[in-house]
Amino acid sequence: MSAVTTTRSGGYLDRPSSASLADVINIILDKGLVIDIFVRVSVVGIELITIDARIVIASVDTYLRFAEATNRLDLTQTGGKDLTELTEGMMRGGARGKSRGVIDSVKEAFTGDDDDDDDSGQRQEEPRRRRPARQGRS
Amino acid sequence: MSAAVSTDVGTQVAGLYFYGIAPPGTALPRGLTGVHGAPVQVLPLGEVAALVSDLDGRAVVGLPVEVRDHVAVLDAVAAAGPVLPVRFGTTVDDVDAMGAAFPAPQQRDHADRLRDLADVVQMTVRARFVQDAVIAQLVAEEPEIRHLREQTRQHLEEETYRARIRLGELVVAGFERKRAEQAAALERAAAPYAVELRQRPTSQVDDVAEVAALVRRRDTATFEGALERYAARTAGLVAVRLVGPQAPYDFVEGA
Repeated sequence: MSAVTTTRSGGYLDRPSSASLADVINIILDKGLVIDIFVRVSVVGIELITIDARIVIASVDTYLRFAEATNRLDLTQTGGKDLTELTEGMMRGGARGKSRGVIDSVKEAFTGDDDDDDDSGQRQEEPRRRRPARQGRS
Repeated sequence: MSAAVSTDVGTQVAGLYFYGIAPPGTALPRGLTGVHGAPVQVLPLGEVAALVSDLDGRAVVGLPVEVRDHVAVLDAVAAAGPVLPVRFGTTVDDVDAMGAAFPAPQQRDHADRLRDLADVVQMTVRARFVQDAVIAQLVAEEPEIRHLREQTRQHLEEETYRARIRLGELVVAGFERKRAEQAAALERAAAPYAVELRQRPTSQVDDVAEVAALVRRRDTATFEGALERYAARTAGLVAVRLVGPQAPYDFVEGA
């Protein structure tokens, strides 16, 4: 009945066969029955980490991080004719980026070197790749 | 009666780890183990039963491995039948204390909820933007972002501090606008195949949505198909992740 848990479909949907810690972090924080007279045990540290992550969004740090990501972005790698035309004045090289280029540049720009300030515990397990099957379509 | 069951790791060690509540006749998967590798047991409590395992004097302190064990037990039980998850980290001194915690009216409430949830599982969808793709769109769409990007790229970081903050602020706001659109599209894709949807609050700039769906067991493949189609439509812009079937974590009251 639960064959779904171990099969992967299509190729666009990321369908892990089991949940990662990032998938369940919300569950442990505030989900589930609370039995009045029991006392919860030592999840305080985990809650604090997540609260920090939530606060950090509207901060100067976040803005600077996204400014940096915007500056670092190589627009020739991100596909789309319109975009290439818009930016050809400052870019060298042709419009070789199609959607594969997006994937590659995402990998380059965002694997491993950011997210260290606010949510590394939550995010580092998530694969940033897409399924290989999608390349056939681009 | 609270003194008999309350537990504090520092001063007193509880005897049982408490995963959730299930119907009394619940058959566990063979060899199911939980926190610290202890076998999971079904403890009858009148109209319901508690899923527990022995702690043997060891504490539960919130380690990742304990979180995984907690979730693995509940999801394994949920794969075959209904279960009401109890909050992670709940422990109880002993079997007697457990009995005292569940007076008849409460047993009935839980039994009713278990019947409501007998035929459904939770499927959890998490959608995130592909950052570079969104930023590229924003650069193309918004002249001010384009201008600030060029300005800040050509000058030293110290000289363009304010411009960088403004650029980041505009980009973050752009993510927010796009999030509203995409979250609505995701909900439209998922809703027809779910009994109920609940949006979780998102916390990161590149989050699109995190949605917990209550899905009939026979509809899980259809639900997955609908999300596959949504993921195909948004490929390159939004990464969609689907986890489940799970226990209905988002559909029991947290009090």
